Amino acid sequence: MVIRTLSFILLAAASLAAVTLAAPAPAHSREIASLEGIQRLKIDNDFEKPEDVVQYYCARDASGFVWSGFMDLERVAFTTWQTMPQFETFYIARDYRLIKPDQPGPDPRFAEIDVVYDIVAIGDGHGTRMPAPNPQHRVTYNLKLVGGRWKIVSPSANSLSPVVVESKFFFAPR
Amino acid sequence: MKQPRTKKQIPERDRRPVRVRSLFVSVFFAVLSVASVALSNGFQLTPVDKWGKGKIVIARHGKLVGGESEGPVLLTGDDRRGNGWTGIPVDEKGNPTSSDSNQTVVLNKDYNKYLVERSAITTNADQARMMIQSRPPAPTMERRSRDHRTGQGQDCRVEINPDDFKVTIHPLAGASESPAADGHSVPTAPPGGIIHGNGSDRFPASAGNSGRANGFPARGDVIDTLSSAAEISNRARGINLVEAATATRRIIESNARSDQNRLADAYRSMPIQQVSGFLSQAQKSLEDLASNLESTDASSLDRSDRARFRNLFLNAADKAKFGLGELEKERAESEALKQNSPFSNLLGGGAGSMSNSGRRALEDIFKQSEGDDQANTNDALVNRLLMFNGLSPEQQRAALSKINLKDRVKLKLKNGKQADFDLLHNGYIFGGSKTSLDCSSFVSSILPPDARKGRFTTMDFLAIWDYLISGKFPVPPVYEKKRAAALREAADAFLPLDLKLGAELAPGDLLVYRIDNDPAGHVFIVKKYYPDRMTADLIDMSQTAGSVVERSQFPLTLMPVSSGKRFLKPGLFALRLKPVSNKGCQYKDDQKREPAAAMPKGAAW
Repeated sequence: MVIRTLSFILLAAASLAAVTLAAPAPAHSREIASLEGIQRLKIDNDFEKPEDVVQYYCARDASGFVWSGFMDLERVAFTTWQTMPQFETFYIARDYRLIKPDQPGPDPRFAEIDVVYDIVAIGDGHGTRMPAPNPQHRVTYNLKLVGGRWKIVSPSANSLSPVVVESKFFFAPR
Repeated sequence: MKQPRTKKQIPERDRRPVRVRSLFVSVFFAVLSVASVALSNGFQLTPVDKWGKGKIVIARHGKLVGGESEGPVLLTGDDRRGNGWTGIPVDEKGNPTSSDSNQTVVLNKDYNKYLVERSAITTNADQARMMIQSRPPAPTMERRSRDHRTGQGQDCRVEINPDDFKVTIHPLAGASESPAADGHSVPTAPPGGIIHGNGSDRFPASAGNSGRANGFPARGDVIDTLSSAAEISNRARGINLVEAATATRRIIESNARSDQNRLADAYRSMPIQQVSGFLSQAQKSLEDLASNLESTDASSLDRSDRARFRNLFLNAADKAKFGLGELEKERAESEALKQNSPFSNLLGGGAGSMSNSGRRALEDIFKQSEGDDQANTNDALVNRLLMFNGLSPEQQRAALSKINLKDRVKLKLKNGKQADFDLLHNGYIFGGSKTSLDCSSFVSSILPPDARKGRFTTMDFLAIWDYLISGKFPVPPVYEKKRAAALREAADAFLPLDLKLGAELAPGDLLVYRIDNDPAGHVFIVKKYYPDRMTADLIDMSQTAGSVVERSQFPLTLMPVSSGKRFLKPGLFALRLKPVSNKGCQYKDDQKREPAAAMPKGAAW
């Protein structure tokens, strides 16, 4: 009887743990400290590695600046795009991570960096929210060395949807 | 050693607690298992919990429309284009059987066959499964069915029982029936309203319908006359809207340039030593404004505009910081050079000057777009915000009296303090109370992508279109209550055009591109439509250039003219501004025509 009771307690604890882990994370608190964690503007491209350029772009994107407020100075400094991104809505992500290739490509003037986002929804600045088609969104950034500086060549501005991160963009729909 | 008792040896009264405990354990784990599965499905269960029942409907075509079936179809919901449902072929267990899937089912007048056309909503089985879980079918839908080849069709009401998903189809009123017999009101043409073509595609000549009024005038010359007069009137109105939209944009650019020059005047003859002070003041002020916008509880600016301007303020603050950095660098170099050179009195060019390299560095920081000197771009606005916020309060008041594009914003912070401020902008700032605009301004504010962020996005237009077609507000997306109410009011300004059912575009119409599961979206104003080619001349507005762009012969279909069936490009739909003042917008030259007759929500133009 003691063994049965102990077994029951152990199994109950294990199940509760499983349910808790499977449960969605609680909604992020709205009390984010103002302006912390936001990627601020850079106008000089002094990055030496292509992944640093992608990291900067993704951090700006995560803070909402690609959706609204991407400066032409940035476009010129960090990309080879001829136009600016023009999206009214955006993906909302929980987080993202950069994936560098294991080996460099055949041409040292070109680089490819993957970014994988954990997508929560699609939303807009008014608080409207739509389910996303996939829980993961993967973007492959192709960069080129231009005048000694790494710049994003593709995806193009028209095809690269903005992705904000819930914890960095206060105005993302909850 | 004591032997354990067998079951037979244990008295009945001692066995009962064991059975109860076992039962409790079984039930407990069953509930936990269901909850775990429910919470940990590979996609997102949250949307299902939040928006729908999550049930999967499986229906054979034999049950749905009668006649032969090509296999079961898993219904994913109505296709939002007024044609029918989306569905994908599945096996008996409901698993998609094809990765190239999602076809629109269209009911034809006899209901014994179905027409299927590809929809680009998804071509991936996993995506389809996601959509299934997030979009249960509506319990009742009113649909027009139409055979694309013959133009024949029949209105019908389709009911799905939410408990057993049994489908029942009711043909709607015919010639001999009273319009009110089945509770469905029949559409009437509003005075000065819109009738396309010669009306034949609006009055299907199916058996039982011949000679019926259906609420419209009788056929023949009367229709043609009404068509011509109505068409001419609406074309003129549409052309006026196109011209007004482009004119408004030019006026805004002119006003922005004027504002820019006025603000620059204060800095033109300023000695370099004083610029630092202004940049420092601007940086602090802009950081405070950005912080206030994030911590506000209530504001006359709506949420999206607060987000936009927070970003602009931060960019302007950063630019001020870079400028300060360059000036400090210049000062340090100048001091170092003076210490090391016998000509120190001559170096530096005297008070108030800067070296060429320092000047170039400042120019790089404060210039606008390369090759583009439009004053109504975001970059130009950032410079104006920087210049304005660097001025003293007295200088700001003096400047405000001459600035065109400005607004006084009310902000109440979370700590209860009031933090109102003067906002410079690029036009189209609408406070919470400014909901009813002049219709020309309304259309003009729809075109620029940046203005749409603060007004109505293409996601909103799709919801408006769905609402006007079906009478129900679509869910998803999930709207905040206040926003949903604003959209319902804005919907009153429009008539939906069902391009798939043959409605033709006219000048002034809004052609919208939006795919449900993608953030991409765009709005064009139609300048001219070529129905035989299914192409259109469109007005577009580029955010980069801040100016109007014209696109000629934009194709609405990917199929050649010679093709018998020419399907619309996925994601395209259209809205027409009502020709009379309404809740959404007012016409300045309103001649007090009678308001458009109330259209039943299911009617499509």
